[in-house]
Amino acid sequence: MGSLMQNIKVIAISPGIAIGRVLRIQRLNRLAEPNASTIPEEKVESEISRLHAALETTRKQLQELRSTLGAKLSAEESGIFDAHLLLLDDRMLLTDIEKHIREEKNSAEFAISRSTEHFIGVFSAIPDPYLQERAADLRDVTGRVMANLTEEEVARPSLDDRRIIVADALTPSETVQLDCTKVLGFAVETGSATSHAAILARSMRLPAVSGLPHEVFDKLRSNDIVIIDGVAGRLIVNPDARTEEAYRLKAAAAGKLIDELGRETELTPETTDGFKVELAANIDAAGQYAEASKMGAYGIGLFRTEFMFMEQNGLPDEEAQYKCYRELLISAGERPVTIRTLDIGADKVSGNVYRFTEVNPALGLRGIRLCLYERRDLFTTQLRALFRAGVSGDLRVMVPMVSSVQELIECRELIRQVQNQLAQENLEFSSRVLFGAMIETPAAALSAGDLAEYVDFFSIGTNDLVQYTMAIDRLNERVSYLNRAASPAVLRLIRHCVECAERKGIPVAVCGQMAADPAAALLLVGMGIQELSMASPAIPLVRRAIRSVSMFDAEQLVERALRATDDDEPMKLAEELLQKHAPELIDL
Amino acid sequence: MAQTKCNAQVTVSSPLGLHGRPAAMLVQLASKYRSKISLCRPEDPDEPADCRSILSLLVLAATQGTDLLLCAEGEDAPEAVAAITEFFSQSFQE
Repeated sequence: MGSLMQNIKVIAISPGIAIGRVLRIQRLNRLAEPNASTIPEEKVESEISRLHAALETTRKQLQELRSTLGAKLSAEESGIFDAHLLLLDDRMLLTDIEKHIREEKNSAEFAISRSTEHFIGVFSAIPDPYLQERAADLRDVTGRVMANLTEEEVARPSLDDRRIIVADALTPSETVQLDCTKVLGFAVETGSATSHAAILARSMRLPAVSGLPHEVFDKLRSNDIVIIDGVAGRLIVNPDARTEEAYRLKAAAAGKLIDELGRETELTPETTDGFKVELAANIDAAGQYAEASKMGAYGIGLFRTEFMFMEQNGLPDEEAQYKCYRELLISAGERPVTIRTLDIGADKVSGNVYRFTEVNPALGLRGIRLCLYERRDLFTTQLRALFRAGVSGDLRVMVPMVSSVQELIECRELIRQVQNQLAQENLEFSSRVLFGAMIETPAAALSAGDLAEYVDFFSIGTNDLVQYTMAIDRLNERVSYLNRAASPAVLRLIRHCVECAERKGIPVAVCGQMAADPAAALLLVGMGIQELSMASPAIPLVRRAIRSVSMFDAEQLVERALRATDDDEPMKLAEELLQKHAPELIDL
Repeated sequence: MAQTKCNAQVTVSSPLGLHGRPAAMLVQLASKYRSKISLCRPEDPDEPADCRSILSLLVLAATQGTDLLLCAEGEDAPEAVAAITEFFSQSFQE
């Protein structure tokens, strides 16, 4: 890429500013569209030599990778390398690829692509989770060969200095290869991994952006200098001296404010006229409690348990889960801890949990649907571990992706059975655990009055509620113009939910992205939300925002926002209010 | 040494079927012998799977309880059949 500065609009997914050199990662397991699919007759032999050279390079890379990582790998992980090497040497695969080149004059790339798709097609016709994993292995291996054929840069696990990771997509397996202390920030193109990159970036408190245009990604090279603005959503390639200086100043000012806010964590999160809001943290592992507490979280508003289920070494059993929940409850002491049961769908899991591939995983068997109707065994185990751990603290359990009263009735029945079982086995368990429903679908929000009969609390997951209300895939950047956390439609659903809960006398929390935005948080407070749960780093910002306005201002804001007809209007109004009382938070 | 041909019937007893690690282990085991070694479903004798090709074994999709016909052809065929039969009877050494 030339030295011309480019300032590109992208989507901010984790706040902060990073300036540094690029480490470009091309996703290995995506088969590039082969440009030329056929070759002339006389090129057949040279095409086959090219194929063998790429296979040999890949074999060396895999062996090298295995010996460099050596001791760091578990038996299972090094088994993956063995499986990859076996596939690479597979005669059936090679014969098939060579046949395409010799008989049909396919280019090596096209031949590999066809053979890969053929075998994956054969595998997918067989409903066996182990085979689905082998399909992923095959894709990974042939992706590497393809990358070597086209001489693309491939992912390297070594980072010599701190870099900004620029990737077309990052999968969990690729990110484990990165040394996190050497990462300055992330810029990703797209793909279902976007959400993974976002979660990872926020949990590491690193700036990140997504929605990087493909042509920009294509031209970026490792060692190019870029700036990531994870607040305004900008990626600046080859910044000129003036821009870089301006961003350095901005980053320094942001750092100073964050330090200042860090000293306010003991202050009560209440409005100027004395309405208190509980601020809690969203975490993915029990060990993150300390960080949450340091940021001034009152408790845990959302513990996402699915990360435990996505680890390499198989599904966690009852004891492993029990220990994890217990550890978290003990660290939290008297403070409330809300644990969400397994929220997994076909987009997030390996064949370990779910044996089908779904065309539309967001609308498929996920969350409570999967737990009740496909993997009731996993759900039962998790409930047992939860109720047993419940004796160690103030536990609340909530179920994700609820869309009907029937699901809650079945959950309660299952909980009753689990408790009976535990009692029969003479195992200690808590019967005081509160049970809640996540409100993430328009159906749940609209039926909140009925759902309230079966639960002790609601927790609104705004990310999914926005996705399902606006009917947008939140990873699809083409419809990101509709991805507004605070559109009037979504606000009306939240308002309805709060009204129903008030009538029944149960509390409502919000645990989505919206709660982490200081301006949007004012809308939620004005609607009567009593608990906001967010990634730990956002807590000091939201505390300052709440402490700078009155409930009267917040309620007036909501009244005007609910009358808005323009999707951007509510946020604009909220930002105006914040600008008036805590302008320092706007530019952060 | 004469070319020998040996057959034996084996049953997949691992709950994981002949997939993943067991398939990889079988490929490694079969590669120790010079004979041509194949497995097929008795009802499908014309489509044998090459025991040295992991893909070929996976495509066989042999789940727990599947009966398979093991064939080895070559100078060390009896040894190969004995070793692989043993491998199957030990539930793939899991």
